[in-house]
Amino acid sequence: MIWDRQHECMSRKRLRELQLTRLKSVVRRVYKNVPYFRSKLDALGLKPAKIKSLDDLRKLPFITKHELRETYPFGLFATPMKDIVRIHSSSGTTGKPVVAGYTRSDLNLWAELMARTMTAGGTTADDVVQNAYGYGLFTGGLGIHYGAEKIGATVVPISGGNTARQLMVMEDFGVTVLACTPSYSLQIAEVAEEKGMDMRKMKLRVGIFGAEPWSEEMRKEIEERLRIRALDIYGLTEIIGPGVASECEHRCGLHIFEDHFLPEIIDPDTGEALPEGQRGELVITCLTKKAFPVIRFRTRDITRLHHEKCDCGRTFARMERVTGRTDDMLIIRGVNVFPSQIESVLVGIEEAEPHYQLIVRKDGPMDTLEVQVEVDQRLFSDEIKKLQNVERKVAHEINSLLGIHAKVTLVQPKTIERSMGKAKRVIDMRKEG
Amino acid sequence: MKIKQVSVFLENKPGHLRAVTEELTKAKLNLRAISLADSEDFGIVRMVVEDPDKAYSVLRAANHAVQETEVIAVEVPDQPGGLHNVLRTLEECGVNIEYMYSVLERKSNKAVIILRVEGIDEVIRKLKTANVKLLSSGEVYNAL
Repeated sequence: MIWDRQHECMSRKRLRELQLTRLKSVVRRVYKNVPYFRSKLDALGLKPAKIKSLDDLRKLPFITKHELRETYPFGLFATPMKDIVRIHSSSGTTGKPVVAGYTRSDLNLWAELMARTMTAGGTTADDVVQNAYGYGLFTGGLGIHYGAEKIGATVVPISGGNTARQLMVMEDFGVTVLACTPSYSLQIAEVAEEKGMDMRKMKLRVGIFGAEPWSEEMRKEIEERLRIRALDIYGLTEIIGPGVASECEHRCGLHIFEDHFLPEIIDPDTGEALPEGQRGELVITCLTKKAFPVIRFRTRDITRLHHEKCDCGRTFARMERVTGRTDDMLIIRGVNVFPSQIESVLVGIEEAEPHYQLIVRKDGPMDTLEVQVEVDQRLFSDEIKKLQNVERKVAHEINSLLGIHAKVTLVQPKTIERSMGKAKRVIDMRKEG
Repeated sequence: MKIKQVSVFLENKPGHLRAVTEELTKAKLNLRAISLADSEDFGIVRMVVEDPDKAYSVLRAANHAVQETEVIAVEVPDQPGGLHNVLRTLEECGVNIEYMYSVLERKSNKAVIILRVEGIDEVIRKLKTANVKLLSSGEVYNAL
């Protein structure tokens, strides 16, 4: 199902024309209204009028998360505060949060994009949507909320937390669509299993999951345990929140809403644009946002783009599932390791739980990786050797995938912190000493 | 003649075994036998408790990984050679012991050992034929 066929299925040629018109306009506007951007362009001797083709985009400087912090909180806003009707912000767990402002037209756009997202996932006005993304400064809650309302679905704004209550509401209200982080959906599954609830008797059929990287194996697990079809959505506070890209029913990558967001793939080390089809860092330019339009924002998300037309009819480029972030990436003894790779190993091993945490330490000159995995009822055996076999199996699989030796430690159930929002998967102790 | 044993996963950290006994204490469940097995970084506590099903559910409710397994309880004369003679009988019956530990005994002239074996039904049959005294769960939980 397609919410906005006129735009989502427009020809690539017309799309490029539209993108160019919008790019010229946004560069002019940001140059005029954001002193920080103007001084960066002036330093390069670049005028907005020099942007004459989509390829000229590469002349423009990148903007990094670090710069967003330098201009905290409102330094990159391109409209007066009186036009800004809402503020959202990132969690700021790694420093100052990123603050995003929205004008009324930005909010309308966001609701439109989320309507596209929800529709692509198969949600209609007949659905009851349980929105378990956190409401508040986090963009997930209100983003889903307005998108689902826009298409006329019944929204249950339950927010995150209180999993027993989530399940009660799901059952009693006949919820058909669940929106939350993938890790929280597994927690819901876990509690449902503990309560002996039969998911087959629930009306739940679709999950709209995002806000953290997850693997294909984890998708299978969620689908089996919750008896639903799970879809991946993508977004960032810096761009708009959720509503940047979404899977369709064919699930062959996430369609980027290219009429509003112009994507590029670059080599994260050199900043050079990479040829089509290569994996690298995703860079996004906001083409139409008014209050907080970032130009060439480096997302730090690693993916690759496909441009062939999708069977669903959408012409928008599809980005592959994000396998990790450049800043989630751990370099352990010279090997690039993404937490999602470890997760795919764990999900692939029947006895192991995908509740895990990676602890990286420095032992003399050597980096060591410890993978803590929760023992649950399914895994637990009265025999030491069976448990040791699971440890060995996980270590062996990690070794064959990544070529590094990991110490696998089993830990007691429910001792790894569960997330309402994003899971904390990595503790890197090398930075502390 | 089969006895239910309750096993719980433990990390090798101070206080984790105490957390298990705390649940049993709160539920007023008496321990009849206990043994700890450990590997490098985790352990398993195996227990014979007077009401194993209740112990299982209180420990599950407290988020422990718990398993019930079947073991046998063998009565052994509390004197030199007591265990030795029983083991010889077990050997003659071709029984392989996975692990064993003894019951916390009150004053008497008998000791009781808990055995985990492969093929428990077959073992019980053989031991009965060999006149080894096996205790029922009632005897182990209450009457000792």
